[in-house]
Amino acid sequence: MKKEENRFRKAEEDVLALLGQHVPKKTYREFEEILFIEFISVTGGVLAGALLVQFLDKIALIPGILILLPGFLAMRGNISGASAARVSVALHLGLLQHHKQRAFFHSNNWATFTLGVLASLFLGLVAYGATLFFFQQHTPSIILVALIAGVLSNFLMIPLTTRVAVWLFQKGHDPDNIMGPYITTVGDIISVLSLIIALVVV
Amino acid sequence: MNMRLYWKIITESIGILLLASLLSALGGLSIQSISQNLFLLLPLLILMPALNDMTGDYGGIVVSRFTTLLYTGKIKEKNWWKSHLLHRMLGEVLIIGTFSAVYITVLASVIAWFKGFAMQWDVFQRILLIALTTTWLLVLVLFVVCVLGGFYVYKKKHNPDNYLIPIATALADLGSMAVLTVLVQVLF
Repeated sequence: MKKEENRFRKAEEDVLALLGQHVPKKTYREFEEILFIEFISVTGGVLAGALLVQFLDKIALIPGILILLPGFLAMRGNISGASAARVSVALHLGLLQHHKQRAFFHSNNWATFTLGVLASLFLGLVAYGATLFFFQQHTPSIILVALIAGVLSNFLMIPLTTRVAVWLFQKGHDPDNIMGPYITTVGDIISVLSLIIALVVV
Repeated sequence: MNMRLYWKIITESIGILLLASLLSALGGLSIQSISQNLFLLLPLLILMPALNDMTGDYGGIVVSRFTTLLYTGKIKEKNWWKSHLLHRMLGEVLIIGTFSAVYITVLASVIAWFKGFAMQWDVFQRILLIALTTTWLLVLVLFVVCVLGGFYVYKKKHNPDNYLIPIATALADLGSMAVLTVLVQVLF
């Protein structure tokens, strides 16, 4: 049976080669990998949603919070994802053996933090403006919520991202393959938690 | 600290980051308009972050795999829709998307039920329909945008990854929330 399958696969590859197309040999494995990683990633998303529901009474109090939410969740990937990619490239280029590794980590982490805070402030301003313009509700507190949540989530997320990337690399893994889903999963939970803490504080 | 590296990271990232945030906020604006429905439909609120993640992830997968095929010369612009490799890629992403949509709907419904939401079969079916339609529609739109945009950017001698990943993520954020809003208004 196995022989038959191999022969069929070989024939299929030969035909495709004749047509000038190439079939990667590990397609099924690739499919399984993506499916597995995606399940982990969406589980993190559902847990973040469950946290949102847990604090629904707080969330419903501030109009415009849902305007903030998708941007705030996407920010983790846009900022921490890019940071993890920079760390990964540096690690592959032998950063850990380099005498300037400290300067690289400091610059990368502070730049990521600055970007996170600026993007949070921007999102807060957009949410405030949109709430005022479209729903005629004046809620300046949403700017403060976005700012506090941005500072808090970046404060937690940046060291976690850098340390995990370095740890994975030292253990012989390629951070590129793992950091994406890790950031989406952990990032969603940390972002929603930070948002809830900011709502409680404000 | 290396100040040159610090400013380089900030200046290169800030523009696209603010644009992506603005597009995501537009997606947020659409769900804010159905906030009353959303606050009552707990399973939908629970699956919203996951749905948002999922569509963004597929955008990233489609762009990076398409770019790899393009750079390795395995696909050509002429008759690209006949490419066996592109068919396979689209099929895989659609299958993974279908599994994930069913999974998050079941998980969100179970969590909502534990939190006291009176879950009914009819409501479950409608939520599943929302998750599946949003996923399929977004995957197809992202696929076409990434392929056409990818060929265009590649012809201009730029790396499609640098342009298409932020565009795909922003489109997925905005698109998923917009489609979700329309479907909630139609179905509930």
